[in-house]
Amino acid sequence: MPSPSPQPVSALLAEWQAGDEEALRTLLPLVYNELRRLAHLRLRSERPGHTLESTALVHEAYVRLVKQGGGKFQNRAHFFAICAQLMRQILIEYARSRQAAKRDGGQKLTLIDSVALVKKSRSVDLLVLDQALDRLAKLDPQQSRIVELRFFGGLSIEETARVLEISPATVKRDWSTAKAWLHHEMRTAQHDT
Amino acid sequence: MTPERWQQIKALLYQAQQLAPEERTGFLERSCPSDRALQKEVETLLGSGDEGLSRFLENSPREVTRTTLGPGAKLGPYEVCSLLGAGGMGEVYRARDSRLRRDVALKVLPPEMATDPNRLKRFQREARAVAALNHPHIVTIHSVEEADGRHFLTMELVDGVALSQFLPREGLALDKFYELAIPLADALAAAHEKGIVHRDLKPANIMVDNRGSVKILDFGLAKVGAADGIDNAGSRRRASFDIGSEIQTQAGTVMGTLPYMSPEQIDGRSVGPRSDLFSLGAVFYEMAAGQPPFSGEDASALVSSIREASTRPVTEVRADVPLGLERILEKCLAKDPHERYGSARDLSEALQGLRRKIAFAQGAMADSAVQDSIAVLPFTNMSSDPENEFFADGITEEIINALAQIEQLRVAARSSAFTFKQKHIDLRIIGERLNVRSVLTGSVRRVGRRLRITAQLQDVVDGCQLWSERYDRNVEDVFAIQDEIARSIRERLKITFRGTGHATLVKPGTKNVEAYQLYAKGRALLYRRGGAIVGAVQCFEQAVAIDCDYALAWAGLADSYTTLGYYGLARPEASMPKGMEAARRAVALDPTLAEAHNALAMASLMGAWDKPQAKREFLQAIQLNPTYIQARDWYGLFYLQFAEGRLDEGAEQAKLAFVSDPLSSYAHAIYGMTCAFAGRKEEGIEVSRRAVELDPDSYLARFALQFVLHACGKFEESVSVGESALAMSGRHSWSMATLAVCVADLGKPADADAIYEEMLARGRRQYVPPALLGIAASAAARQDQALAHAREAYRVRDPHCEIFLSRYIDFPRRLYSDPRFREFGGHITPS
Repeated sequence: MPSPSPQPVSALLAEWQAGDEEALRTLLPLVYNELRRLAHLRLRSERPGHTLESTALVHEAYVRLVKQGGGKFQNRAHFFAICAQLMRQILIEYARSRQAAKRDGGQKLTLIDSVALVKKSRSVDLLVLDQALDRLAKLDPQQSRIVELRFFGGLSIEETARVLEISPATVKRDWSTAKAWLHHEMRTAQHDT
Repeated sequence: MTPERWQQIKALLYQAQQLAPEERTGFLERSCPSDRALQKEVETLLGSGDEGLSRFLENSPREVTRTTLGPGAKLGPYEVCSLLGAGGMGEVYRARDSRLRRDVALKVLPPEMATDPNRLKRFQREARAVAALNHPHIVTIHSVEEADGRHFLTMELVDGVALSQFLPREGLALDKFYELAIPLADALAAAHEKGIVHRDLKPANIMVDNRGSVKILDFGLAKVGAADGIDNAGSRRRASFDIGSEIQTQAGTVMGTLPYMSPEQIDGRSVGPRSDLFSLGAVFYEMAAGQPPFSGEDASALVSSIREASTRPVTEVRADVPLGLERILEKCLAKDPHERYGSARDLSEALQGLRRKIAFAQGAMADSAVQDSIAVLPFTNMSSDPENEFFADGITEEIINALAQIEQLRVAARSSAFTFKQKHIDLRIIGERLNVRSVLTGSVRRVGRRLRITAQLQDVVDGCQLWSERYDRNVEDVFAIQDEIARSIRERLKITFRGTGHATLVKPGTKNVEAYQLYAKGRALLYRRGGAIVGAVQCFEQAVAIDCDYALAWAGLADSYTTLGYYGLARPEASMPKGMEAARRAVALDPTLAEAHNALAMASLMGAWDKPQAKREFLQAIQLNPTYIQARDWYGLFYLQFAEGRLDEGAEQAKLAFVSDPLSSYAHAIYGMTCAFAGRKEEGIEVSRRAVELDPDSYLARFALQFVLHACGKFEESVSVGESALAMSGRHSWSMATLAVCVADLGKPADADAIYEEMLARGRRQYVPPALLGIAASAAARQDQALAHAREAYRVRDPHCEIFLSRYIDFPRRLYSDPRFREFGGHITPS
């Protein structure tokens, strides 16, 4: 599969930043493909046992698409914000395929959040999180978005505030309360199933 | 829930989250007194947050690709059970070792690394470096192997969690902090002393096992000797990666983890042991404060924080952290490596000192009303005649015994106090180490019949002198002087007697000063064990020749004969009956002496093989004097463990001795051995190591370590410790026999045979205990000779039958499986 030429991405980003919403619509599939391609490379390569970290992947995509393209697009946070949603989609796809593979008795994929010799690593079930985030979006769309940016995009409080054009204090409050809500929601959901 | 309701909950929830947990309920009751349902919903969300919420969603999600090996896959003799984790240096699996039937952790090098000679070399170097370490708080590497073209190593499997998952948000309780931090510093010290630097210390690389003990794992970057520059090349550039993620070189090798990296590591400068001290300091900070010392909105902010910013004082984050700990952490986290501790050992000592100080201060506060504590340091011999050394030691010991009778006064044990003999250490430090409030020092000068004794009592907490006195008398008055000193101390410390009938505290046992002096010398020699036992016998014999009613001297004589017998220094048929006779005499002369009953117990056990009598006498000795270490240790090891196989109870007895005399090498050695029998392997090794540290010249300590290492399967180290034990003891038979078993277990029967031959040759010139010859022959797979020696051992009642031929020890396993042995040997240790 040929990789997308970096030049148009960079140009599209600049246009989008200048206020052209149409540019974003063209841009999204390109970034999405690049992220998928990188993820696929990592996850389906001949080098098993490698970890794929969501934010590291986004960073790599950023370097490839934006920095190498020599574009004028300077707003890392906005790029990461785009990627956050896409990474969520990609990771959920993988989680689904993993679940299917498990059912088919195929080779297993494991999600871990700590590289350590632990009997049972504490991990977040992405599919359960995904559903809980959808439910949160119905209560408070902004909070759901904040979680997406922070967790999948790796944005800091400040960056999230800039992207959403709200105050950092609001991000802090929404993040803190969203975590409590999701934590409770996911535990209840897991106990139910 | 409606969006409007959620907004209402959210506002309250956030405010409550900002409060301390204990303030939250009150806050909610005040905020929405009329809406119980709202209150309850917020409480539910808060409650769910208290477990693990701090780290929930804080790390970005990761995927691990399909693993190289699925469950059931075979790698040589190992069968994979499950994946445990994956890192830059490969995957780690739980696997079953089909030969040894135990579970291990397998670390498998990814195929593309195995084909790269440089990476393979690094992997093997890592493995060798860590395998060379042998420490209870470092994950043990069993082997480096290759099977089916895969390179892997096998490691001890730790059942537990990573420290990163173990740490509560508010930090560890302080006693738990010390409990984890000191072993970590010790483990690092052990590695550094072998020239190994960890380079990636972080909470995720530290395991807390199910018993709450810590282990450092993944000395993945540990390297022997000097650092090579290549490894540091990419680290600076790559430091722009995300916070919390591992910094990786392009080769995929993890190079450290940002929040715990030292400034010099971030800058790509050379990294030495002091870089590890920084990282460990950062881990300690997080353990105490619940949060890492450095943070930043992004990686570059974090980097500049580590390089430039001073940490927020830990006492600001958490009020109950002592200032002393803050100073220790600050010293670890100094930007300039030269301002940090000189070594991990120094750090460990600083932590231990602080813990003692705090325990002492707390103890002093709690105890001041009811209990005082004292240590009597060995009185200095000011006479020109070195023989008077024993006289001075004897006076010290008598005063200790006298003070021990005083209720509400805790007296530091003799052997702990004697470790400070002739060492010029500040009294305050001695007070801290022995955990006492006051210290008695003194001097003895004897010229002809004249005796001058001085004594000073000092409060080591505030440094003021409580009392001092000088006695110029005749030598016959020595007992009166001891009694006066004890009384003065009692009055000075305003302590009451246990009971009221005792007119005097010092019970001299003899009126003859010469006899007393010989007794004092005999005890001192006996404490040294080894060849000194022969000298002890002579002293005690002379003492009882001068005063035949001297019960303590008879008890000492009994112990000396019995010890001669079970150390293989005399034929049992010659020494054991003498031991029994002397012990009976001691008990008849003074049935209230713990020493006398203990002597009779040991003579009964080792000489007469009369277990019921041994048990009765041991228990009586312990009842008469619960702090008599010798009775606890003999009862625990020889009676409970060897004679009865009550392994845990035996270890508990030895622990009581160990606790009451925390600086005694002897008590450490015996406790270490009892631990090994009770299956507390790591504790056994640790305690035995400490025994050697406390007294490097003690043969018993060295033997204990050799023995315990073998019992724990650390054969190679047991061999090397055994060799040093042999060198210092004129090739003592205990160590010879143990070494023979050990080399046999290492699969070197020829070596075992050579040791047996050496013992056999010696046996032609002098007495070698037949039970030990039997053990060595059995190790050399000479079963017929082994049986013949064992038969002889039982015939002459070799006391080693009760020790090395006990069914509760592993040594004679080949004998036990032989029906011929059961015909004559089975009766000694009935099941």
